[in-house]
Order: sequence, then C-alpha cells, then structure tokens
Amino acid sequence: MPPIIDPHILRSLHRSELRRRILHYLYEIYPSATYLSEIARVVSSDPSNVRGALVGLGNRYNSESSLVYLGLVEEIVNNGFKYYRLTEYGKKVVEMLKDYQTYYRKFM
Amino acid sequence: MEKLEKTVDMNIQQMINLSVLELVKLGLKYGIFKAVSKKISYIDLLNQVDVPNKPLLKKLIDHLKLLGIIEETPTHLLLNSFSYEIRFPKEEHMYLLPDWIPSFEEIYRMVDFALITPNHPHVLMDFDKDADFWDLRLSSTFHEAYRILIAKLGEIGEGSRVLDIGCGSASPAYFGKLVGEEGEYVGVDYSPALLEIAKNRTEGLPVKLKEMDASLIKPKNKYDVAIMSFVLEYIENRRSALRNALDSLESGGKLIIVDAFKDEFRNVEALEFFEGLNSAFREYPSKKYIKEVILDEGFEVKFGDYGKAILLIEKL
Repeated sequence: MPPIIDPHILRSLHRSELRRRILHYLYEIYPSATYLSEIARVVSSDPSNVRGALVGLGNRYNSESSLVYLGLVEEIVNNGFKYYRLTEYGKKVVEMLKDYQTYYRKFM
Repeated sequence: MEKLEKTVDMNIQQMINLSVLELVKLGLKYGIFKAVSKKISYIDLLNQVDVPNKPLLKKLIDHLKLLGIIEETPTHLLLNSFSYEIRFPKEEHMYLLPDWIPSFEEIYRMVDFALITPNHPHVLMDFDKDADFWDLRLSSTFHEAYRILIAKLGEIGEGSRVLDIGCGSASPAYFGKLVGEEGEYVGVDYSPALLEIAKNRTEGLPVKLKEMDASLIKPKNKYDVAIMSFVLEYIENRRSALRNALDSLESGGKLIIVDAFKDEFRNVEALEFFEGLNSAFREYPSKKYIKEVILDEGFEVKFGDYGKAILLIEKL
C-alpha cells in the first residue's frame, strides 16, 4: 500500500517554492543533517526565510505549514547547534512529489 | 470479483455515511438547527445565519432538506427528529480501506473556507490548480480497487484497445501496462494538469492522452472497452457522452461505468454537497437514467449490474 499522505502536507508544499527547494536539498543529502545557513546558501534564500519555512516565523510564516511541524524535517540539537534532517516520512513525500515536477512547473 | 465489488460498494457507502455526519455537524456548527427550531421561513434562515457565502449556505440547507433532516412547509422550516446509525457488519470489516479518509478530512475542512467565499484560497478542488490533490485521491487503494475490477470485467489484457473517458492521472499507467505493446490505450480528460501527471508516468507505454471534453469525443477508431469512472457527474451533456462512448465500441465491446449511482446509494446527496466544491460537479447519475438514454438512442445492448457501483453495457 502507498504511504498515506495527509493532503494538508501537499497543500503546504503547493503554496511554497522555498519549502519544496529545501525538501529537495535535504533529500539529496539524506540521511545527513545540515545547518540553517548551509541550506540558505544552497537554496539561494536568506536564513530568516529558511527558518520560517522550516519551523515558522512570527506572522510571516505559518508554523502549522512548516516542514518541522508537518513531520517532514526533524530539528536536531547537538552541542548547542541546530541541525535539520529529512525524516523517513519526508523522504517518502519527496519521492511522491517527483511525480509532480512537470505539473508544478507548468501550472503553478 | 465479488470481493472487489463489495470493496468498492462498501467504501462508497462509508464515504456517504461520514459525509452525512459532516453535514449534520455543519448544521449544528453554524446554528442552522437552532434557528430552524424557532420555525422561521427559508428566507429568514438565510438572512439569520451568519455566513458570508449565501449561495453555499442555501445549498447546505437544500442538502439537509434532501436528507430529510429539515422539512419545508409553505410558511416555515421544520426540524425533523433525526437519528443516524453507521453500521460496520463484522463480516465486511475486511473491505474497509483507510487511505481515502485523509482526502475527505481535507474536503471537510475546505467547506468552512468556502462558506466565507467561494474563491477562498484554501478551497482546493480545481482539477488543474489542485491536480496534486486529485492525484492523491485517484491513487488511493479505493480507486485502485475499481480499476482492477474494470480490467477483470472488460477482460483487458495484452492487445486490448481501451478508451478511457475522464481518465485522470492514475488510470493511464495502470491500463497502459495491461494492454502491452500490441494494445492501445487512449485516455481523454479535460484537465491538462492531470494529463501532465499521467504523461510523466506513461513514458514508454502504448498510451495516448488527449485533452478534450468527454461529451465532444468523436472517436475515429473502434475500441474493445470504453471506461467512464466517476466522470458522468461532471458532464453537462450526458446523453451525448454516452452516445459517443457506445459509438466508439466494436460490436461485442463493453462500456464500463463506475459511479456512486443515485438510485443505488442511500443519502448520496451528502457526498454531492462536498464534491460540489469543485465547480464542474453537477450531480451523480442514476443507473435508470443511463439505461433509458442508451435504449432511447437506439443501441442494442445487454446490461449487467455488478454490485451497486458498476454498470456494464455490452454492445450487441
């Protein structure tokens, strides 16, 4: 049976190109974790936007649509530093999203 | 085969059952039942209930009437006593499928936004803008179950020629693999986004995808099987769509229709309310109507009922 994916997760990714770019990068380096500024550099965005997409940020980024809240990315704290890694569930969702690459390009 | 029929029927019935409960919940949540208990008129109810999208509120009240929960007299509305039982017979537990539930939960959430405004960005039922949501639905094990059933009933295999009207994003890859190199599968849909997703999955398969309105199909070739699964409810001119589907078949060919037929599923109106968030949705067809239209059009056919949700029409 395919994984049961809450459509709310698709909706959140549907609404944000940045969230999708972050997920795809974390998928590339899976199972490794990386830190915020490194993700920001790779996805060509600033760290505050990336933090918003990962965990939510004030009014600008809805925390309920954030990648950590949705269970797609986990936040790991080690020696006072925060790292981010794709969860096993997030990996399945990215694999499913690959089916939609052309659709997103043409219809979004 | 019987197991698949029961799986399809039972899961449609549970979708309806949950939708009835959700409609009741909306009646409670928006104070509709409380207002009706004061014996007010239809117009007064529309004005009193604090919901900006009045056309959708009207639709909600009409569906509560169709379910017999609210009754309209010449002067006012009445709230009927109502009890509703969801039955899960133990011998049918094995037919329950879990993965359509998250999609329905999302649809139930959308109604609250739709009651604010029909164009609310959280209402995500458009075939093109929200094709990923539709694909999620079409890829569920429920939809897989009826695809397997269609393949068995249509004897679809190596070399079969299949026309799938309203093919969506998931069926083309499934049937494309079945018909093999010697066969032909033509999928028709009016959503370019769903076809785009289907295209990604059918590379290298003998699959042709066409963007077209189902009622306008004029097939040049003849097919062994034509499929219409959960599509008639979106078609304005059903007579024309049915005629064209049968015209596309060889003598001995089969048209297989899968749907939540109005004359088979009790309280299907509840499901219609939620599916109606897609602006193209009209209403579910009835088997009786389909049979009458086909005979009226002069086709010589044999009808076969497989469970409640499947109608097989064999062209003689």
